[in-house]
Amino acid sequence: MATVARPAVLGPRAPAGPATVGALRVGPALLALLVGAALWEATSRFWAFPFQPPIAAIAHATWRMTMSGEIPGNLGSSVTVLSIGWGMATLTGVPTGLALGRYRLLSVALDPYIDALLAVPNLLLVPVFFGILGLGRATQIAVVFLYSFVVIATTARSGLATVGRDYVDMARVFGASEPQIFRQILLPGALPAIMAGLRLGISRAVRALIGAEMLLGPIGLGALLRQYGGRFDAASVFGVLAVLVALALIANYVVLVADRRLNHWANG
Amino acid sequence: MIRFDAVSKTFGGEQGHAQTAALASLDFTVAEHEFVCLVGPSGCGKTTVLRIAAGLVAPDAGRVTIRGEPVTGPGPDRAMVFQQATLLPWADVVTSVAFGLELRGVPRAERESAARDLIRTVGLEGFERHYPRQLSGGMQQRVGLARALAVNPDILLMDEPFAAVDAQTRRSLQEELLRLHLATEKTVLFVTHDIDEAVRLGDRVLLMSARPGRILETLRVVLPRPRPADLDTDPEAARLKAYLWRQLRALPS
Repeated sequence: MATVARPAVLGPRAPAGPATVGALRVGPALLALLVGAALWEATSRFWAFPFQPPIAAIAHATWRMTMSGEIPGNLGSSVTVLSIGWGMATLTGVPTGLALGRYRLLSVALDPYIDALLAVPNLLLVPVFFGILGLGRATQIAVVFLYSFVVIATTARSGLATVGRDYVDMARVFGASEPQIFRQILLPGALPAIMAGLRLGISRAVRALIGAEMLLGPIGLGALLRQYGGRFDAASVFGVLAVLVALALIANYVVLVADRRLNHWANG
Repeated sequence: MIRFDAVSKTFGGEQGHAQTAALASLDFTVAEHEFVCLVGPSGCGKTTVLRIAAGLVAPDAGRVTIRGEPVTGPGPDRAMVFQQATLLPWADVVTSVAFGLELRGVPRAERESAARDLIRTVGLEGFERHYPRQLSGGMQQRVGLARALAVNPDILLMDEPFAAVDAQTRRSLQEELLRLHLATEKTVLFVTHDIDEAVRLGDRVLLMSARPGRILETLRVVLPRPRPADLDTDPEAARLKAYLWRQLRALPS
């Protein structure tokens, strides 16, 4: 090694910069997907079961719905509702969670509400907001918001609790004020948990979105799903489903990439 | 300069937890520029003494003063080096060393240039942009030391800073600290359970009793500064260490 001049006590030179971040292993996953598709295709042809259409039929139905504008229009609506609902949940959930973590009394006082919201199924929120906001996007957004808000807030709260007291003491010795301790120690320390909360939030947001759209529509991929389900058009149902899964995966991936950028120190 | 007057501290006692008397009427002083080592059996309250001096913990009884002023909290005249380096995992070496200056509102260019100088001083040149997990335990302690020096305190409080590193690294860190102490003339209060370390570094060694801790004995280390290189074979050092060992072994721990 070229570290002869380096004092022995320093040890070997550590790798420069943050460790490699990306490199999601796509190979094995791709293989598994191919095997799954092959199995699907084989069993679908073997049984000729109408609710398991062959992949070609699903692709064809998806293409047809894309050209007819059904998928683009409803996808646009779903993405809009998801972005607004989850975005609002993030903007309000993170500060709420941090406040809950910081002020124990507030947390204790609000615990029953938080526990109730964590436990309640998303479908139960739909009639509640329908009663207040009526049939339309506002109800969808409200359901998505509330269902993801609660998990974003609670993860941010527990993220604060994981920051070691030693760091707080250290900052105090160096003269940090309470706001400085919050900004320099607690907030960055809680950031990995906050980002994990945003990912949990997005998966809950997608679930709430589909639930709201399926239950009352009037537009969105969930509404489209219900419409074709009612017609027993399995190929179109699976086509919409594929788009939905893709939407959920992409949303999750976006947050994951942001997380790795922000928290490379915790993911190394 | 630092003065502890009949300082007592008890922990616990609330919500049904048993009370633990950590310190009982502890007295000692540390003079300006002096290097004082505090040794004692584990759990005797050595760290509590440091935390009180740092202003992190208030004593239940007694008085702690620095240059005659009572200690009411942390202050810019003191900085601490911790047993676990407690480097912020999201901050690279430069940011870590500049941490105290950043808290004081020193502009980035200024504080980072000061940090780079200190990083050189503690022998970490080339590691400026490394993160704590990329550093060995000894290197992390060097960063912790540089961070403390960066705020240019009069007093360095050191809590077993070299306890968690291997023997060879510890020796090199000790030599570096001695060099820095000689050059900067800081007042140092150094907690350790390592008698060899206490004799090697200190002007005086304070021996603490088992819990509740108080000062049993004060020994002056009559060795020249800079400390001779062959301290291992020095008869005076050997005599002091043997004596401290005997005293420590007689204590319940």
